[in-house]
Amino acid sequence: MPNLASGVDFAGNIYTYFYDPNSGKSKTTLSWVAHIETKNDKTQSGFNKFGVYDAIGFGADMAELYRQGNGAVQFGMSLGKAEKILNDSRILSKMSSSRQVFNNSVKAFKTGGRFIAGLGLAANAAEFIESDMSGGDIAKLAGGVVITATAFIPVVGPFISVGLGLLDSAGAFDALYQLAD
Amino acid sequence: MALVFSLIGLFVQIIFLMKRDRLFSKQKFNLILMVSLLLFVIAYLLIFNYIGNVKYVKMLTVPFMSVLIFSVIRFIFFRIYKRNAEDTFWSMEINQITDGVFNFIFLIVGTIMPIIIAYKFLP
Repeated sequence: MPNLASGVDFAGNIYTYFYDPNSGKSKTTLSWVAHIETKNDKTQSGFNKFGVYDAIGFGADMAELYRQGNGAVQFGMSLGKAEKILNDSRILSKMSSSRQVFNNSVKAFKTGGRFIAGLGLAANAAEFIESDMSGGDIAKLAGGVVITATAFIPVVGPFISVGLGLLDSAGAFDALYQLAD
Repeated sequence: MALVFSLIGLFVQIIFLMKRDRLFSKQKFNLILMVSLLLFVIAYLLIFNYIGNVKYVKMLTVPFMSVLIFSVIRFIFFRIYKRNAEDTFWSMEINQITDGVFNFIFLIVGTIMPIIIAYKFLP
């Protein structure tokens, strides 16, 4: 078990902190009692300034070691779990199920898009039926159909479709429709 | 009411959007052709007998023309590429550009032309 830290308490006792990252166990031992008693030193009772400073440092060390040790244990456990999952090949099944969920979400999103596109086409036609069928109304119908149809052009189509749709709803093509009238 | 007739009138386009494989299957295509022909006949029976609103009823003639346009465009595509066009709705594959152009052309020509013919040229 490696010695990781040591410190001196108020009484001048030296403590050693042991920590084993493999087992995750820790131990603190009182390895040496050092009442500093020298002829030139006035700290006969064992209280000395170094002891106080060391004790504070020891406390801080303990807290930091506990934190790091805890982190190391957590990390080790995570690594162990990952290794176990990899060994069991469960990670592959988890990945494939995630991919399946993603694919299903994309499929559902696309189906929603198709549904909205179909409704959009029908709404355009309905608007045309209710209109007086002038040139402007035909242009409006054509505009709506073109916006829907561009969604079929690969890569750039969907962005063009959304962009044109937004512009149309903002009234950007109204002048064009009036011109067709 | 206009929306209901529009949905019926554009059922070929809706099938093209949602279940396009049915348009490429011979049996199902024949069924769609029969239904659209039936709708066309019903529309003109209603119009000549002055039943219903002509504005709405004329929409029932659209599917038959759409199916005809689809079969012409599909025939041209098949003659050139020796295969049927794939679905390219919201596709991000650049190698499907020819299929995308087919779909784009059908949706524009197959929707706008029948509606204009129905409302501007047919009696």
